Amino acid sequence: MKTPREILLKRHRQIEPKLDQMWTENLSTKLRSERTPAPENVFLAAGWKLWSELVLPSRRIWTGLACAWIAIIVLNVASSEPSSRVAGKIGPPSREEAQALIEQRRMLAQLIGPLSEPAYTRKRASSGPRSDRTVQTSAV
Amino acid sequence: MLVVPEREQLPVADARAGNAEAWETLFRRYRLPLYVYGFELLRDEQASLDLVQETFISAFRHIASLREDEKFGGWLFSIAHQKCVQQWRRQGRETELREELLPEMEADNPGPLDVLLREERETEFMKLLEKLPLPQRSALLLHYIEDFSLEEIARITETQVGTVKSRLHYARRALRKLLETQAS
Repeated sequence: MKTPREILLKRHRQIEPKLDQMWTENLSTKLRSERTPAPENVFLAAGWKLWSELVLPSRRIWTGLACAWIAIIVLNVASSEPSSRVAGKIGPPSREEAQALIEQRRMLAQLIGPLSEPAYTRKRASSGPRSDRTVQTSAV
Repeated sequence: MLVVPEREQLPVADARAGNAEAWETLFRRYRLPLYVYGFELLRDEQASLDLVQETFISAFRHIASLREDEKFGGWLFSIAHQKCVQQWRRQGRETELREELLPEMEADNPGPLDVLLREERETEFMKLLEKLPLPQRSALLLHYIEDFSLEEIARITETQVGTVKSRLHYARRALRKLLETQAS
């Protein structure tokens, strides 16, 4: 009498040489190439531990976050104009532009008189009694 | 008599550190059970050999993600199971993956040693196994080959424990019929 496990394993035991061959020819080589031993340096070892325990188990989440950040950075860079280009666009005014500006100012001065100080900077006419003020007004 | 191995001490920690000898020990321990599991589900020798190889390559790469060393066996079989599912999808056997909704059964949970078969019934047992729908076959194989618990089988096959109970119940009922004819 046999257990199902015995029956199942016995039935396929003839495949074992092929499986052993698989180990010697493929898997052991693959393992050597995949192997990444922990580094000797303390800081590197700590980094490795952090990497293998914090990052590797949730690598899909980290990859997703990294992709999202890359997408945000790319979109940000693509949509904003570099400051040098903006500065290049403005540039210093040409001689003709400066000349035209001076001319416009001159014409404006002729029309409205010489530019005076803004009203709010003018001294209040007088802080004396109201009766004195009327006299001043009539004098003007 | 060969029995289901005890939960033996496997050099999983050494394997995680990249020790080649530890990996060889693990390979020798699981190569045949994994092959049997693959073959009984895929019915193809080359595909089953590839399954063993790919499962171990994935294990090399992702051993760091294994949290509990004592669950190495279940973790390895869950990789193999996912690869089987991918293979079924490639073969267009998705319909076989779906099963009729079976009512949940209470676990009649005899160990794998509770069923003993006479030598002349071996072929019939294998034929019966082949006839079972894939999900039931998968649950039964995991139960027989590695004596995984219901919870472990549920984790490996990514199903609910109740579903595993039902699958095992119906698979065992079919097996019991075989045993009854054997007795008569």
